[in-house]
Amino acid sequence: MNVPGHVGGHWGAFHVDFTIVLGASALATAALCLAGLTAYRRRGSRAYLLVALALVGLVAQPVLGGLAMVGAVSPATHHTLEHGADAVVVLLVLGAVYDARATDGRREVRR
Amino acid sequence: MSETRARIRREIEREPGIHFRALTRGLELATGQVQYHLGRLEDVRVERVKGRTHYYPPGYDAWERTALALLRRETARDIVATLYDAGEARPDAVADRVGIARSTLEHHLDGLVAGDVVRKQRDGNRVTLSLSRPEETVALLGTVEPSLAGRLTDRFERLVDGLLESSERD
Repeated sequence: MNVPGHVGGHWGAFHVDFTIVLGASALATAALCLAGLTAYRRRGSRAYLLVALALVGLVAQPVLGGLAMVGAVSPATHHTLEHGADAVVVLLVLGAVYDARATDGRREVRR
Repeated sequence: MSETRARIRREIEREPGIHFRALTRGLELATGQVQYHLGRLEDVRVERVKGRTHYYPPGYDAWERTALALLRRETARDIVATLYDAGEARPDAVADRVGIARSTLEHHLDGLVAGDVVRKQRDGNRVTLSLSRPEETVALLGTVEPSLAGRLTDRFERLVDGLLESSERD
């Protein structure tokens, strides 16, 4: 049986508890994303670009959540897009990890 | 002098080596407004360090201006403090002591060596690091403090370099 995880009142179209959770998540991921983009600008490597893009994917999640809450996106679309964003984030991080080895491949020869 | 120009001037005196974006953000002024007033503050000195424009009150020489810009970075400060304690050290030892990946150390050394804050001596294959002007560098450490956003970015770079380096090693 499904137990509803939503408690509390409403501010117009906004559920109080969802709004607080989404707001906190949006702020935290935005701060992290900004750090990631600044780091990419400084370092300029492909690995940093991939990590920064993964963080952009993370910011997309609270944004999608907010759009679903106010009814701009249907629950089914939200679900699909959210898991899509998860997949993109994971693939980008995996790419960054792979890239860290690939760019230093020359080192092996010298050893 | 206009009130806005005086505020810009005070901010530069409080934060020697502040960069352009931090100046506009901190004072909540428009880019064009800050540019206009900076052009009229004739004794304010400008230095481009690693692609960023930094502003200084009068009284700092060129070496000090570059060093101040570099010492705004938390990780660079840790590297400088470690070299001050050790006198001379090999790069691996510095990276270990500070707790950073070699790539993070090399990234910061690029700027520190170019700014003549750190000296890199080569003896065959051996590289030794030391501070070019230890006492003057440590005195400058107290003049600037990294910002919260700056600390966050530095720690983010430490984390990512550390993760990428360990995934490479395994």
